[in-house]
Amino acid sequence: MNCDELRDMYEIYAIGVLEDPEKSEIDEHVSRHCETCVEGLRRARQTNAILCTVVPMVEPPKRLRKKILASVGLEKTGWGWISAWAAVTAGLFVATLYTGIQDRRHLEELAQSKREIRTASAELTKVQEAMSFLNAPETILVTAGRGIPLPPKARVFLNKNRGVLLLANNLPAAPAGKIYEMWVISRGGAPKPAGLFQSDDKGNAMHLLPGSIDVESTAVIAVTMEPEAGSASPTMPIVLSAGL
Amino acid sequence: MIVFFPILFAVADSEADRSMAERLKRREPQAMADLYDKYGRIVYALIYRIVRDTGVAEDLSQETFLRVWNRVQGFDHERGALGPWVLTVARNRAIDYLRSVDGRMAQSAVELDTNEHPSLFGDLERDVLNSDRARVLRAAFKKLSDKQQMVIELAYFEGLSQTEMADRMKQPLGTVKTWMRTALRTLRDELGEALTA
Repeated sequence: MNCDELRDMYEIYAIGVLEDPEKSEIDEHVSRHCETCVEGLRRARQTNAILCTVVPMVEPPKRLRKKILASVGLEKTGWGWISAWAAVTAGLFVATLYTGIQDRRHLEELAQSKREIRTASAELTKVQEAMSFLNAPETILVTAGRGIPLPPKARVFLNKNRGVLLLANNLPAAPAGKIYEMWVISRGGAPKPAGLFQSDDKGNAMHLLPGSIDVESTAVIAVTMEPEAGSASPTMPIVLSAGL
Repeated sequence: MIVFFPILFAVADSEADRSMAERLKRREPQAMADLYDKYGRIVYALIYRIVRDTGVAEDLSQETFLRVWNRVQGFDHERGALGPWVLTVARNRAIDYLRSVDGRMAQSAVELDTNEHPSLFGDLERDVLNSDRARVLRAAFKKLSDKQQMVIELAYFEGLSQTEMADRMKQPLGTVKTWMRTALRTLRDELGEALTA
């Protein structure tokens, strides 16, 4: 078929409803870049586009725009807005609840703080009164019990894995040839030597027996003064004794 | 007889279309908003005219714009006519739907895909959809006989081939072809006179 015979079919060819043999004829003209047919089809596409605009007017629903724009990430859909509002409302509810709980907690903390402040203020008043008393020029100092030695005191810490730590005060320095010795005395057992130590010039001493110890079976931690080389068993009176 | 009303476009701005197509190719979402604002009503009206169902028209309109968004890279924004391409995509979506519902899939998808390729709209006049030409075509359409109008409608808005039209209208194929040929020639002549006037 020649171009003149095909020219009345360009439009329906361009909208895809032309059948053979005419369709194949136009296909063949197009494939060999027939200028007449190519130009005819170009004009046909314009005519078709115009015909597509000659339709009854129907307004699209407003949500259509939102849906389309949402699909390319420009706008949330209606449900998205509802979800957003729901989220905001839920958020506000939770925030209100949280704020209420926090307010109540803050009120309790405030009351507690006020009580502590009142107590601290009372203590401070006492301290201020004492400081004022001490700083007063007419205040004189007298000391009771001067020259009377204080008895030795000790704190003993036991750790089943790490041993025994002894901290002693008011422990006068052992005289020449003598030394302090610690003993671990178990229930129903003989004292076991637990190391030698000396106190300093202020009467303080610290002695550590490292290693594990059976705390449950230990009855007493004691300290005696022994000859400088130490003893296998206590030979002198007990200076310190801490019962468990 | 169905009475047609033209969709009145804002004055077609070919430069705006060129810029819009360029921005679509740059994947600017705001360009999609502009595209919908310009062609959304006519796309929906065209699809509704074909499928006669608001829900389907809504879905197919969305599909149309997404298809344009996804295929715009093949569109020549310097020389192309955006409106005709968008309308062709819209019509094809609707016709494809009708054919699937009617079980007329034999010639559908591939052929429709071929006639909407963006490269086919590279040499069209950009402002071809302006309202003056739409009015000319409406006037020309009114001059057609009822039979001629019917074959145009069956082809454009129902996607029927001439053989299918003949079956539908219970007329000889030759008669349908004559009605179609005469109708298109009349429209072409009227439009041609208006374009060259």
